[in-house]
Amino acid sequence: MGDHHAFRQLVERFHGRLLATAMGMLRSAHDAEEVVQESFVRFYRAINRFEGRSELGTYLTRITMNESLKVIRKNKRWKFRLLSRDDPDSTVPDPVEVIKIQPMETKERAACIREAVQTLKPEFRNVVVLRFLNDYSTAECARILQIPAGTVMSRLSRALEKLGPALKHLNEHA
Amino acid sequence: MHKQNTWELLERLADPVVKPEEQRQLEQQIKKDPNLQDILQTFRILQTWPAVEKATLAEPYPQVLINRLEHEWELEAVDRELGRVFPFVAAASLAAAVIIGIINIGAMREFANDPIDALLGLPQHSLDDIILAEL
Repeated sequence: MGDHHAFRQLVERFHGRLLATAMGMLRSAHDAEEVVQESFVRFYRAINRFEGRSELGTYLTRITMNESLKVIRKNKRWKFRLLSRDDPDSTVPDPVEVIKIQPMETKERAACIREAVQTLKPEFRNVVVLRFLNDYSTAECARILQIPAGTVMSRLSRALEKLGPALKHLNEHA
Repeated sequence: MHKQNTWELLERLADPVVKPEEQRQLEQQIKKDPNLQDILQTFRILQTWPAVEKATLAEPYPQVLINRLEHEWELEAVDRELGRVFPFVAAASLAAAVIIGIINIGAMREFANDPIDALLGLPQHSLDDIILAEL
């Protein structure tokens, strides 16, 4: 019973952070909530395998990232099945086209950034979400994603280049 | 500039402990490169992301998740209880089978062909045979 109480506290403590991570990775809030639920349930079922070598938050974020990537892959498969190859809509939209220039309320600003980030490929998206939205250091991002820190840095730099045109107008409304 | 160096430059610039003189130098370096300036702008926009996201996302209480976990815990408790009761049920079933076997052997020893038939309660002669013999 005590374990359950502790786990409930853990859920309350990390739910918001993991939801933000999943929201940054996925377009749909429903998918994000599902991913977070699945992450906690997976962690609970395999709790004995958690050796405490990494911080709990980092470990949970890694599970959430992997679950988000699974959903992205699944959605991509469905998209390819549903759209014909010569369908003009089947190409990934240019970030510049997605974002419409308009006066920025905080809500719209957040939505603009999220939309722009979601046009990135998953391997760029996850570093941006972890580094900027979750405020993990470059080294922590590397640990979570299990890739070298140098790769994280170059991906971040390339992601910023790609996001530049889509986010440029936000500076005018800062 | 190498992508990794670009990122290191941006992080250094954003570091709160960087001295004003170094900051000026870094900014000078960035001013020389329009591409780097654009990247810095994007970097600064993304730095505001957690704040704007926090302001817009009213974090819901994870009730659905808590309910799902409680269901999981309930199933676990049922499994645990069943696991505890199973040895008693199994032992009682075995004891009942042994007792029935002993009773059968005791009652049927004289009427059965062999001990296995006696154990199963099968007489040597069926009721029809006995009736026919008595006729």
